[in-house]
Amino acid sequence: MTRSLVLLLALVAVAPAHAADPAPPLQAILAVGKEGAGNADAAAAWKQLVAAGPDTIIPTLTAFDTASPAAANWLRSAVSAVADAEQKAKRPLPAEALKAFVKDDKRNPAARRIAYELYAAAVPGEATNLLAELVNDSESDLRRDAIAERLARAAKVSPAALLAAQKELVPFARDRDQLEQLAKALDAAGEPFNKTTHFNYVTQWLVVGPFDNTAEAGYAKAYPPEAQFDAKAEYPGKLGPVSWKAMQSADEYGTINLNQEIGKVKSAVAYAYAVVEAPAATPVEVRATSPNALQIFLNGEKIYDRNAYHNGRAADAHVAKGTLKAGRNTVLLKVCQDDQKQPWTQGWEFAARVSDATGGRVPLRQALTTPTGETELVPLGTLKAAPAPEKK
Amino acid sequence: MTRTFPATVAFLAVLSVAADWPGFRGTGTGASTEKNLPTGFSETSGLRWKATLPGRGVSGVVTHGSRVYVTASSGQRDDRLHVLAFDAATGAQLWHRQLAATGSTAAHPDTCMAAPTPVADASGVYALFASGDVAAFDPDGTLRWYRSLVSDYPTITNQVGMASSPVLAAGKLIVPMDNYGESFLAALDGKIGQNLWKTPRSKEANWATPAVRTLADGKSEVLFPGRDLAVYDAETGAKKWAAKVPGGIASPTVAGDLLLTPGGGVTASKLEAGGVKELWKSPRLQTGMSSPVAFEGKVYGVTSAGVLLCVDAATGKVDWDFRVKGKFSASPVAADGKLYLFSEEGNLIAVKLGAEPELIAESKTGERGQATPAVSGGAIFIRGDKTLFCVGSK
Repeated sequence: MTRSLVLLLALVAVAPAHAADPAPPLQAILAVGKEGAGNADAAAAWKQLVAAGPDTIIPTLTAFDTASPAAANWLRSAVSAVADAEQKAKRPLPAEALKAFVKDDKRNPAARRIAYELYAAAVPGEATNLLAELVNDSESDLRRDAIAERLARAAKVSPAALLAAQKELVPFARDRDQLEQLAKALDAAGEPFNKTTHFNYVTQWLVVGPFDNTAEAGYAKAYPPEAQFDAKAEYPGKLGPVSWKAMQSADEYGTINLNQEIGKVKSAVAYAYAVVEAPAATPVEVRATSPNALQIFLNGEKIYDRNAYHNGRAADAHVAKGTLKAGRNTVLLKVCQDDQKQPWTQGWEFAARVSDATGGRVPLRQALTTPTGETELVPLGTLKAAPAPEKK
Repeated sequence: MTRTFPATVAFLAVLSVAADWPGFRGTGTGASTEKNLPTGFSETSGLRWKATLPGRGVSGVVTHGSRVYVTASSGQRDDRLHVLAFDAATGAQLWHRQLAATGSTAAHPDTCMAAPTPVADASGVYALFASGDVAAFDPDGTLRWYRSLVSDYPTITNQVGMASSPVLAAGKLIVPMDNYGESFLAALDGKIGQNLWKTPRSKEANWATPAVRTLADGKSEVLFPGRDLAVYDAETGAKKWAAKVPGGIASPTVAGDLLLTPGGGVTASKLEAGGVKELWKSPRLQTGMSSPVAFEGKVYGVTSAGVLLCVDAATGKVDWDFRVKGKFSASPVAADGKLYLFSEEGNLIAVKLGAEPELIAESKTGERGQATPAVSGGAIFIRGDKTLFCVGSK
């Protein structure tokens, strides 16, 4: 059998019989399961995909739409193997198909990023022009690079053009470091930018604790605040009776430090409760930053659960998907601390924000208690108001 | 059989005997039997080749036969994972495969997702990343299998960044996964990546790489420090015994029945049936993140600040100390009567060993690096943050 015939047969095997159904090799890869289940079939399928050459790139990228994280890496490495071989052989990649895939924002964001990089390798100049259009892209790296490209272009024109670009682009920034650079430039130009509002941090919480988490058993124990919220309730806590206390974050990234607010207690559980008002039913992500084991409840339903301690403080390390209903919604966080004694295990804190799927702002409001004790609805991200001046 | 077959077999045999540096610190000792090694290089000579890497890596270079394997990580979130193969003789990039991190990429700035050193054998290379992603590639770059350990065991986490390297024992890929979440030592089937055994461990971070010891009956055991030094049957994963032996960030070294464990200095113990017998302690051998090396009757270690010590392996007596320039997190490597060190500033330092040490070369790569050098095929392989260097004659 000649090599070309082998490739032809492989390509026939990869080509989808129906546009909606991935071809059998892709199905085998999409079927990989836990602990290596399906790996043998996936390995055979991977070889078929790669043997089929560049015509398999777009179907393989399309398969990302329904791939698990593990399956996506089988697909990703297949695409990289095909592209590697084509580039070594100095054969062109399917540039127009890749460009169309990048522009199709219904496709998986990670797959579109891969497509963009292959397109950029094929036609670098044209790819940069396409990139500059993607400042509001759903894929975080494309968005980031697009903003950087547009800023670089403006900087070559004039300082005024750069400032105009900074003002135009800052709403699209999602990464803290890029946003901080933009905010710093705007501050220097006398146009301060509110990062807390931009990121939609919940800054007003009711917090209760500590409850017991000895031997980390409290993580799985549903203490009364999980069953029903009662602002006036008193509960038996780890160190005695506990009740809800209002807390407002003064941190631009919305942090509530439980070691300060509740006390430095090890093997402990705290709950944080907030009310978020939505103008209409809205799909959202509750994105939390916390080094602690964490559960997130939206309107009483658990939407996130990670029983791991000492995760660091990477922004948005915990991402939970949910849908806000029109009107009043409740967000409850369960923040658990273990008993470890090393200095880097002492953090007991959280921050949370409510965003769209890109991490962008959604127009929501929260109940904020003012220094005078009144409650008002304010946009998410509103920081603690300055204390009322003392009357003499 | 054609006439060329025996010659081919003989040639491959020479390659595999002489050259392999298959895993973290070679075979886990940091020592090599290679001879006639280079001492250094300059801008104009001594460099066989160099190759640009797509990202950073604290992981070491590994070799098998004519293949050189390297891992790297890149991207704004350090979530782009790379596995590359190069031709040892020419530096030609043979293949480059990419994966994405499926676990957390939070880590101390000194490290990155390409922290565990890969391990290679005739079947190809096994690459583990600090994000809990592990993959096996054939020598030609074919993906044999892939696992997302964080998808399988979602609580895996270590905010500092994991760094323990996988090892091969009893024909299995041994994966160390000590962290603040679900912790374990597991053996994966090299052909399809499924668990052969998985033994629970304490939920504590650990950056050490296990040591493998082959017993007189041909069986292998895996020595893994942590709260204690625990010893596992490589065939079954059963814990055979444990001993109170100091542990730290650096890795243990096994040389015959000598066990060196870093942690508050280095402790030397004799491995016995079912336990250890302490031989000596050397508080001065403060090796920090690097691991000690046993070579020709001596133990060598370098402090993070650059004090190189030579200790008698039998007695623990310090023979000499010697100051070298730089900060060190890479482990020293011993071969051909020399000790090679790679400083964080990116300098390869060669010291001639003997009754008195002698600095014989200090070569600058011009970029920072933290990975332990590899010795293979008459060359020294070092990696900076951006470049892979092969030091040797062309």
